[in-house]
Amino acid sequence: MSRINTGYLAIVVVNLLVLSGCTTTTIDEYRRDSVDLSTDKAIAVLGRRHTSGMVTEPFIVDCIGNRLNRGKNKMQVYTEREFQDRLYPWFEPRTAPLQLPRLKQVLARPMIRDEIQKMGLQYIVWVDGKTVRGASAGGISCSVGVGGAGCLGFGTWEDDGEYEVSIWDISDDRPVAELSASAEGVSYMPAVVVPIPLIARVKSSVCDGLADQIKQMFPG
Amino acid sequence: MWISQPAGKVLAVLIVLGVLQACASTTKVEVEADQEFPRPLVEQLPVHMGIYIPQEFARFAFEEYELRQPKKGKAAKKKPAGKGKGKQAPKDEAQEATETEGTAEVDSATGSADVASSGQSDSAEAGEVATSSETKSETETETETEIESASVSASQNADPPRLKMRVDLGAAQSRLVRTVFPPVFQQASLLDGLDAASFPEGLELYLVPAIKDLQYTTPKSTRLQVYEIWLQYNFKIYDRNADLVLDWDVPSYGKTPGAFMKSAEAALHAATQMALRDCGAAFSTGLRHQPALQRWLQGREARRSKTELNIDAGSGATGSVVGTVSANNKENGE
Repeated sequence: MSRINTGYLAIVVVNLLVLSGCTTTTIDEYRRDSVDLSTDKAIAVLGRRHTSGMVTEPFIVDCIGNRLNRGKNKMQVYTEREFQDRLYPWFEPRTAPLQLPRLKQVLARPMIRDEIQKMGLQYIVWVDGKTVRGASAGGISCSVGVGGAGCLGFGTWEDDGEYEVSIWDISDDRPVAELSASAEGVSYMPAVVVPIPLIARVKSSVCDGLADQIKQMFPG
Repeated sequence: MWISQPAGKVLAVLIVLGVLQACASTTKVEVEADQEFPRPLVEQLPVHMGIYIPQEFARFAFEEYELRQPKKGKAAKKKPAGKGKGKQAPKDEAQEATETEGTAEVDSATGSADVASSGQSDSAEAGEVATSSETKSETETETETEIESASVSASQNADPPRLKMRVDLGAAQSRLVRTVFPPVFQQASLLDGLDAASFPEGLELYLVPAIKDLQYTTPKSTRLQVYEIWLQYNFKIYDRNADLVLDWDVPSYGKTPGAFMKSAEAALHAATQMALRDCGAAFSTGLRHQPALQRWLQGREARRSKTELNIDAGSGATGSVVGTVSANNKENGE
């Protein structure tokens, strides 16, 4: 019996690892100007959080930063928290500049300009957007009784992600590139006794696509 | 295949208990006292400021209670939902009762904010006993009545209100004030009391922080996948003679997205940390622009200039007196 259970468990685990929902990601790029990042310069990846009720997920921001900071052509990246702490309170959701003219005003403060020079920061990557749950269908019912427990059914849902990325060169106070990414994913959850989630990795897909695109823009 | 082994039965019972526990659990958010706040990069105000943290501020905790609903036909008082600050999601009334946004205004004497909100309802009428604490002038009496009626309702039911939400904020907000506020001033001193005799030498003003209001929303009430916290702070600045110089309300806001498998506690905790940072940002960037403080600074400069002029004039008079004395001495042949 234990062998059967072990085998069953292994099948479930393999299913979870191998199977996942379908995801389609589209990345568009608009490059205004050439970019050049010397090895001693750094970038910061920040999320937009100024709109009430809408939050750029920290997962996406951290994920892009981590991917830029490793692998081929890796860059020196400041995490959002580190950047915000060092320049507190000028890049909090309340005070963060939304447009370049406002950024110029912020950078005109000597103590901020000095701190940015100390950090060796040259580019700010702003990430704005979110993933929302779209249409869903199906249903799963579970029951628990004295004799045991189990679920039966099938559920499916869509996740839609829309993100925009703006890259600002803060040494020249100019925008250098804009990227947009849209991703759709359909997740499935069949349940025969045990629900098996086959989750579409929409955010991870967006993160991978955007990070790769940003890396291509900054030749190492 | 049904789970029929003894271990499976135990698992099933545990799942049921877990589900029941989730239904009746209390959301407790404790913002750590050791939360780090960065030093603000701002131009310092040319003032020696004292900072006094009252006990009620240092011990502040927000608590929201959920009233057990009376049996059908026993609702003590019916009030339209959302009359106070508790907003309601546009759902049926029974659902509304469970999805009241938390809100409280603070009892300055105790430093605590207790809110009673209606709990799960098995009748539409009972769902209308949504209660919120609202102490603003016009609605004060009304709110007291609401709370009173809720208490009566609870006592009739004999079940004590259940703690639905608790946010321990005192230690973290005290740390915010101690860490972020002093660098805003050229010189700052933390005060143990408000006895003017014990004030440090040269102290010109002192600041007393207070928290007036806390509100929160969860995805359950807004249908947005966002947890939000609003904190309403009040900062009073007095001069050495205890005359009020500035009375400034500072709203601060924090939000964090909900996520699969992320607990409400963790999400509200992150939102509260954001709100505290937001308060620090508002204070450090906005204080210098407060007209009352600018007037005080201008007045101080004017007083200083006047004093300097007087001293100069006084010096001139002394000189003339000396001169006069010298002249007299000359006349006397000395």
